[in-house]
Amino acid sequence: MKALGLLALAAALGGCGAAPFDYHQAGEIKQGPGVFTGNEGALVFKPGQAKPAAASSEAEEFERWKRSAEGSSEYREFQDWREWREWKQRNAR
Amino acid sequence: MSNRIAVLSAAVGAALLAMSGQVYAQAQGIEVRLSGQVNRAIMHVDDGEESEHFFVDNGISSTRFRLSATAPLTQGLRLGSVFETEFQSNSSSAVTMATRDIAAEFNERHMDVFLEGGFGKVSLGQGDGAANGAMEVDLSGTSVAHWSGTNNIGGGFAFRNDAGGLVGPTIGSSITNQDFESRYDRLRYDTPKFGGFSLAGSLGSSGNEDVREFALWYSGDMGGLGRLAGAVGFSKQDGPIDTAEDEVTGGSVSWLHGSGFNVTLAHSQRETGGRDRDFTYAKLGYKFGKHAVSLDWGRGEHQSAEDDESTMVGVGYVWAPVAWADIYAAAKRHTLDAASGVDAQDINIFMVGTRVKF
Repeated sequence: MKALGLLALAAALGGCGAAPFDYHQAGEIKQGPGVFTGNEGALVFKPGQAKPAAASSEAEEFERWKRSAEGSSEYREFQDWREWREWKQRNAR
Repeated sequence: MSNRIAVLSAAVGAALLAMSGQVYAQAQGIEVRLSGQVNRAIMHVDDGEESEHFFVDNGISSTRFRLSATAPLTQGLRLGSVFETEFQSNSSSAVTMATRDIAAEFNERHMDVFLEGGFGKVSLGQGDGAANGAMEVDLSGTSVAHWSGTNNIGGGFAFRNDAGGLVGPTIGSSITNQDFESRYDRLRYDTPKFGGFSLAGSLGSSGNEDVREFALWYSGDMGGLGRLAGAVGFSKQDGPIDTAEDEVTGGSVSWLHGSGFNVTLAHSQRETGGRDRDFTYAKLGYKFGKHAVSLDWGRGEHQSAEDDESTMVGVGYVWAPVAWADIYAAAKRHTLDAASGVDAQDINIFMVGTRVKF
């Protein structure tokens, strides 16, 4: 009898031919934004995208450029800029 | 059974460890999320003899916080964990006329690791049994104020006789939705969705006894006809003797029409202690804009004693002015028709509260 009831309910649901959606259980924490956490609805940490790693990568890239560009006009221009900046700092009031 | 579960658990654990050794980008794609909610209310209870106010934590959706993390293991395979604990003072299901203040304490809800991919999802640890929530499917938008879990609000209050004495059964022991085995330590498997359907099964232990559960879940959007969600489930908890075994069969279904009109139905049967206990529930509601209102009715039969009949009628209203807050009000009346012949007085409960997600 129970099995028949379960089958009848399953058949009724199956007959609807509807597009699935994600049902969120009513007693769980609400989906969507939070009062402190904004649109994310949670404080989100992404360790793999930490800023120090990005800074380190940028520094490495600069070192590579310095080694490869030495002697080029672009490099001489960079040295002129550094000298000008040092002169400006020395003569600052 | 315990040994089998231990072996299965060990196998899954070993598989997870082996796979974690192949993590192709350890720090890439890891996401850790911290979220939670506070749900507080003022509840007024009149049991026919006494009436009192209570400052409660709403047991339908308690105050809690959650820490979850997921990370990709390989292409199409994710490993994750969920840690969720509730922190309730004066739970609305536990306060009584004699005990208005109950110290807050942490209770575990989820301590779970899971692996998910195209094959579905395998979960290991403390968490929902396969059928937990199958009696509580509800699209009305008023579930934070009232739902099939009738004992979540005022469950601790006992009925009184005409002379004002306590006659015994509480709301919680005479009318519950019998929502299977709740949360426990288990191994659970969920299939992927097929046309809105998914199957779930779990094996674990609760109260020092083995538990197994199965459920069929459904959710579908029928366009102009609205949305339909439902579930049917079965659970069995072993007992030291046959009559102590606990078997529940039941389900619920909820339909939300595009106009906002909605209907929710639930029914369960529980066999334990040599007695068959029934629960039946119906809710009619209407959602409009940021508002939702509904009427509900529930009946528990043979739950507190053979031939006892406990009935509940209620009304609820929820206003969600912003996505992160619900402001709600509910009123309900509980009636007991005791087989003992004692004329029990009705219990009336009113509640106003708010749930804020942070």
